[in-house]
Amino acid sequence: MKLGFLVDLDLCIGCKGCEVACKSENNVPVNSWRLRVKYVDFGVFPEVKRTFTPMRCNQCENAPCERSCPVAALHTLDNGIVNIDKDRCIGCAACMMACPYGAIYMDPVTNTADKCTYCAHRTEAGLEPACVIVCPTEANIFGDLDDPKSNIRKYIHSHSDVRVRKPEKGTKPKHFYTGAGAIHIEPGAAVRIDGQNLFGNIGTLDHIGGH
Amino acid sequence: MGADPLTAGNAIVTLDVLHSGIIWHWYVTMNFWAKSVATGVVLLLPWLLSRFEAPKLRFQSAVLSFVFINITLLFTVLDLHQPLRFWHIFAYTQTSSVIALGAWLLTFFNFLAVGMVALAWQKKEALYDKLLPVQWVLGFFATVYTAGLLGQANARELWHAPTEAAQMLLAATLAGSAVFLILGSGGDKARRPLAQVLGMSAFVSLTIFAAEFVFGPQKSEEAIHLVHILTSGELSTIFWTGLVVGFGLPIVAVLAGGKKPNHGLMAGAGLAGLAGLWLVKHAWLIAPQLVPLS
Repeated sequence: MKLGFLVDLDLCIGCKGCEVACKSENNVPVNSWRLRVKYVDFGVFPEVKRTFTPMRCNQCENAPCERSCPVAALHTLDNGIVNIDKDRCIGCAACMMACPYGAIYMDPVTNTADKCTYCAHRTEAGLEPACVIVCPTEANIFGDLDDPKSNIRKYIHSHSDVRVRKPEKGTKPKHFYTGAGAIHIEPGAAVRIDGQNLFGNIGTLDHIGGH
Repeated sequence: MGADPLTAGNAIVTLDVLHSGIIWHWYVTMNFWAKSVATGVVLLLPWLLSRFEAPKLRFQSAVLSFVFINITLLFTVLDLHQPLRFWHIFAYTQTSSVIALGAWLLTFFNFLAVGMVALAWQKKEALYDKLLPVQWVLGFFATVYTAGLLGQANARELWHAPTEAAQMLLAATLAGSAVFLILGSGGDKARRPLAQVLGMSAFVSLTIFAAEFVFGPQKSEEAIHLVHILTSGELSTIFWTGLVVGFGLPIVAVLAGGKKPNHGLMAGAGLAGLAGLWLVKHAWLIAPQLVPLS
């Protein structure tokens, strides 16, 4: 079994329901995110468009976070999920330095690293991740990449524009996108400018944790 | 701000979470810097002992390596978000992690440093000299493992420079010669050779920086952006100050010192070298963390 994710960006409406469901399901603290939806605007007025890109851990097959963890707190489960043992984590942040997707955060409550685990506690019980259940347009497609009958496998085979983030990093992500352009998944393709944001400045988080 | 990015047709991030900011901050810079001193004095010691009869060198080197490796370890532990779990590295060592291997290396180096201090104190020079090659090898790997550690930071391209290990060694020889010059170790006879090591370390290191940043083609957008941050962006003041103070000034001082450099001038060059090295390492550490990854 190899669990994977695919987001059809042509279906995503940017409602952030997945983001909220994730926070609620996993008790993710304030100012921390396992899953986020990035908005990018582009074009020349009046031909302006807005794109929405949900981003979460890619559960890489060749996970640099796992390799760099000095205490093996990050480990791959049999179903392909890269899980984290928070009781073992020493909070060195090596995984945060290693993850090319910025998908790992330092939990300010436990002072340990944390990330999306595809809701490992739910998948273990045969349930789908919270973000999948809540999506009103079924843009989040989740399933076993090894199973030819799974929805995600069929989706990948029936779409020619399946992409992953930063393939050049050699991490072999198990998180895919369809309908993605450079501005969706390449960080350098869209600029971040203070004062150009919908609900406030996109700033920088203060140093996290107890020191 | 200049032209409206929307009308200019640019893509702009209009809603996102906060950037996580600087995760590895100045505690990690202290780790790099103090380790350069701790291992640098050990790397230079066999060469100094082979050229100069200076019994105090053994004791000074042992104490310096002991003090600075413990400063390194102190800041390493302090930087952890769960410092009381530091022992997990030894209990649950993951051998693929360079951090874990480094922790073992530094621990062995520290144990040996304690022994070397005791041997130097008791003037057991024969045994000290037998153990010195072991400490030298540990010191060498303790110096270069950091390049492997940075290499595992898959997200930070700037740290993947092929010359990183060479820069670590040069930082060690620069820092080691600097503290020896400040302390006047080895007396008047050792001053000029130590000054030459300081000057050459600074010169070669500066040349590598110039070759990589000024003359070398940057292969990715990320690398180009990071070089911009360092050379003309928000870290340029720290970076250039570090290069001028830590590398430029020692080179000038060594040249000005001539064949018989005086202690004051060389001590000043050593202090400048140590201060500049800290600044350059800090800018190097911070720059890749300023760039959003997604």
